[in-house]
Amino acid sequence: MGALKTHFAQRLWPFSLAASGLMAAGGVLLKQHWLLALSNVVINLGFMAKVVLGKNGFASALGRAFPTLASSPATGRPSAVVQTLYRCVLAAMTASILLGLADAPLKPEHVRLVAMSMLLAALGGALAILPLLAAWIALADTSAQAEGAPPRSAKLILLLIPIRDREHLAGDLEEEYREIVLPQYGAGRACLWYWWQVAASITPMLWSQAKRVAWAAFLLRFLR
Amino acid sequence: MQSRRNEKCDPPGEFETLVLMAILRLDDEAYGMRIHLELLDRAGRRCSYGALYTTLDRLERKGYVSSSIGDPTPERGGRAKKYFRVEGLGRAALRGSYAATCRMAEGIEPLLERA
Repeated sequence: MGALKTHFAQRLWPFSLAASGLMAAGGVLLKQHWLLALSNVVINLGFMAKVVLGKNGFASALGRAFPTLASSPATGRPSAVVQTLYRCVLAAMTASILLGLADAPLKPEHVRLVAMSMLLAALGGALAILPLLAAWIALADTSAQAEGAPPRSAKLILLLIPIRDREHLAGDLEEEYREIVLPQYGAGRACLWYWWQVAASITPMLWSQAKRVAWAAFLLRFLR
Repeated sequence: MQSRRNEKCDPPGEFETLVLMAILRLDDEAYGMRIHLELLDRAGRRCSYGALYTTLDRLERKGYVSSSIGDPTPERGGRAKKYFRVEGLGRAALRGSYAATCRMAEGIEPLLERA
């Protein structure tokens, strides 16, 4: 997992910085707002990966070739040069959008275009978060298994269970996992067992809740 | 008279009967995991905890069982146990269901052999 994390951060950040710069330049030259929005998405994706994942990997690989671009080993944050570059690209993008808007009178289609650009940026940001979330969950699962605890990602799914039964059900599952399944079958199969139990447990409980809601809705409609 | 009384209270289904019997057998130790293991060991019945808790909720709504909360324990990640106990109505329903099964099972052995 550590190697994958380093690889991801090493490859993505320089690529996203370069790609974002090119897109921003293209957006300014061609006066295409969607290119500017996309460049914003790309640079944010790379920056998030850098900050969240690439603490040591970036410093060790790229830092050897370009010491001034390396992260601070203590904090893992990008160096001052990288941060300045990032701010310059953002400033250029903002200026180009403002210049583009000032160039022509504001029309409804411009507003629509800007709204679409913002929507694209938000969507891209959300998509960028998904792999990071998956990586975080995988790391959390690995550390939980090392402690002999059930996978944390499966525990998150138990949040779907009504609060009345959640604590007891999660407790029973964890007790059986720790006391019986883990010593008998080992970590891998115990993890599978836990996932299977979680998946099999939420179905009847959600179905039961859905029936209650449906009955309540029916009664409400009938009374009206 | 016995059967008429049982007609008045909702007779438990097959899985509900098994769960009631498991709770009776476990006595003071009847909580989710124990009931789950008892069903597996004695009846060979594999069920999910979701299905088990849905059934326990239904039995509690019918007044067949009551529940109480125990102390949190470290092996459960600091979560409390929910203990179940069969109430008088549950015992009556179980007795009726068991008697009906026994009556229906009388003389069934040769018929099963023949089949």
